[in-house]
Amino acid sequence: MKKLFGSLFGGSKKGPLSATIQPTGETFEVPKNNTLLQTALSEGVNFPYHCTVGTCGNCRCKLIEGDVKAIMDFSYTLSEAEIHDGYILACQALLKSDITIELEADAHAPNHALETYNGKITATNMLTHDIAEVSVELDRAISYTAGQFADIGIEGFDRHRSYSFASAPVQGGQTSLTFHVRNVPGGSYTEWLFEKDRVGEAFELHGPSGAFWLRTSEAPILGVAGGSGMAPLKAILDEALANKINRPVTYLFGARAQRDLYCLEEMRSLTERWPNTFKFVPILSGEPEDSDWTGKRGLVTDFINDETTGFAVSDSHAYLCGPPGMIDATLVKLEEANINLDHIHYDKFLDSRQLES
Amino acid sequence: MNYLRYYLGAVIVITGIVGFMLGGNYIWLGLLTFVPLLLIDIIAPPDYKQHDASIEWLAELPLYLHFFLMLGLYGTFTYCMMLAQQSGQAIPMVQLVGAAFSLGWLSAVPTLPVNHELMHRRNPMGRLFATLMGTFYFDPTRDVAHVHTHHIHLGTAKDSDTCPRGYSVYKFIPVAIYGSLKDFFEMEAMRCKKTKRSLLAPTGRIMNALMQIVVLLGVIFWFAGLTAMLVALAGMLIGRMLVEAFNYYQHYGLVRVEGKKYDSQHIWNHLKPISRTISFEITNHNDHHMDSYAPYYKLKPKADGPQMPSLFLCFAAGLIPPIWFKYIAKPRLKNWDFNHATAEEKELAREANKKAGWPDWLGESESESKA
Repeated sequence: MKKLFGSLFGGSKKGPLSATIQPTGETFEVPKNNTLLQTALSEGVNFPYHCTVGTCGNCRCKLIEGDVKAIMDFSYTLSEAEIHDGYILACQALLKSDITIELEADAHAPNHALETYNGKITATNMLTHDIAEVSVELDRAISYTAGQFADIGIEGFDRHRSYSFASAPVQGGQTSLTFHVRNVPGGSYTEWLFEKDRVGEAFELHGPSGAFWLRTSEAPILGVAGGSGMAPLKAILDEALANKINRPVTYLFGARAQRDLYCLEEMRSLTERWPNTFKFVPILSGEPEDSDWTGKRGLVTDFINDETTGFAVSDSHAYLCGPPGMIDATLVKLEEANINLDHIHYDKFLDSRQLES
Repeated sequence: MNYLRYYLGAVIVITGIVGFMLGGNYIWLGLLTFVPLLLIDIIAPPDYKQHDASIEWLAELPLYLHFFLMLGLYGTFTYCMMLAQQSGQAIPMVQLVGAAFSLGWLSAVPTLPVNHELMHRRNPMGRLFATLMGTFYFDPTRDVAHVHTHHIHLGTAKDSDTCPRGYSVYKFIPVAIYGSLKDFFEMEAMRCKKTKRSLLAPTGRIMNALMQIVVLLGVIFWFAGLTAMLVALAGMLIGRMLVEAFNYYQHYGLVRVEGKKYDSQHIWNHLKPISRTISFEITNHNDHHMDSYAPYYKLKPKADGPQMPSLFLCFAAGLIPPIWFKYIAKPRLKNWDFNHATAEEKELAREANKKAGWPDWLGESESESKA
């Protein structure tokens, strides 16, 4: 009986097809009705992913050979250019033949062990009226790559929340970490955190994860972030500075009003210490018209142009982090600017399993 | 017991089938299942227990079985209408109306949750059955708007499933039907533009959906004639209206800043035992939005999130809008505004209250505290 239903609802009837991942050359069999992503993960392949339902785009990869069938059509999520270039979403892909796909290969790609750690909160520091920097200490050292995140589980709460590492990693691993957490009244986690002093409270951390990290290149960096998308980009830039990366940077940061801006001192410091040009451009969408704000107003997408960035957007590598609406609108702008799709990297905040916004 | 409880939907569909077989005024039996469900759900205390099921295929079985029971329901209806047609016996209008309402009720309340559960699955079989089951309430393409619009934009004006404050269920239903169709057509048009395919391609979602509806109605017409087909069509449309009403009670009046992360406080729960069971835990609702891939039997009921009373009580109260507003919607939203909304959401809530012509309770409390 179990076998009958197993085969009806997802098991294997015919012989499995195979998938090969380039450039590593890893090959594995994919049972019928199993997605490329779920099989790759169960085979221990370091495959980038997050939402698993075909909306975040983290598991996109290029189909070089063979044919796949989409559970939910890829084109609801991928752009026209991505589809044209043969990209697919591994989490929605079922094999119709043996396939070869291409995943990015970069010597700096994160390859840290995914482990569970115990930790304690050591300090909290308010960065804005509703965002706090939370410092923690782990029971042993963790290694991660800037831009990645960890899942945090607190006793008494049934689900984890994901938070990006907010500072550059230390060579050889570290036990001290910082995260940015927004206070969401009614949000069980954040209410717990903000209702009183939580220094000394214990939690469990599972990580690191995520495919948002700085790729090796000489191209100018265009950063676009909104809300607490600041954390992973700030970590990436801090790490890049420590690694003496010498590339022009323009960082467009979208917020609602002046009181939502933070890490301004850190951005000033980066501007001064960065070996190449570094432009941090805060853009406010809801600032009262009669306020003393003299900076840019509008949406980040209004400023994706060569004039604001100071370099050709088409030649840059873009790193986007924030809510889906902002990412989607930015992707359209970047495609209009003819940027190479391989040079766009993003992390969408979709729901609570994604990064906290 | 953890497995058996989820056959409640099957029991009420079978009740509807028996009603059709008995004929006469028993045709109303399917619709009348609402009454005991309502009474038990009102009397029973909320159920905060998680009913975890470890034998997955046993928990999956009632989902797939439901499709065949629904085929059985429509089949029995067609067979009975065919016999009546052959015997030349005219069916009284009251029984035709009863048949439409029984079909409508059973096509919506136990069917929507099953369809919804399967549209979140990663296996193609689940997705196929979800698409097929949407036919019974005239909506075989809901999965597209549901995953790509509702789960991202809930609580904002961009979400067709979230009802603005002040709307009665009667006002919301046509707005929601239009909105969900518009969401689907926009997504589908975008997909076709990207893939350079025709919106009306035979393999596209629009033609598939039309085909499913035409086949179901066509078979009924072929065997049982025009009246039977029109009654079935009315049943499917009533089902669709009830589906939108379901959304009305699940998201009523909650607000959220567009683009910001949502959390438990942005989604209502209905944690009475019948509400939970017959809906395959979708009324265990905020945990579903927190982890939309978790199957129904892994969802954890949250007693601390925003709570609505029995879903059946909401359905009954909503039929008389002043009762719904006064005793259910307003007290709960007032509590939500004060205790769950962020500062930005409080602003949105005040706007929503003003637009609905409701009291400005947040503003009044502010001026009182200043005085």
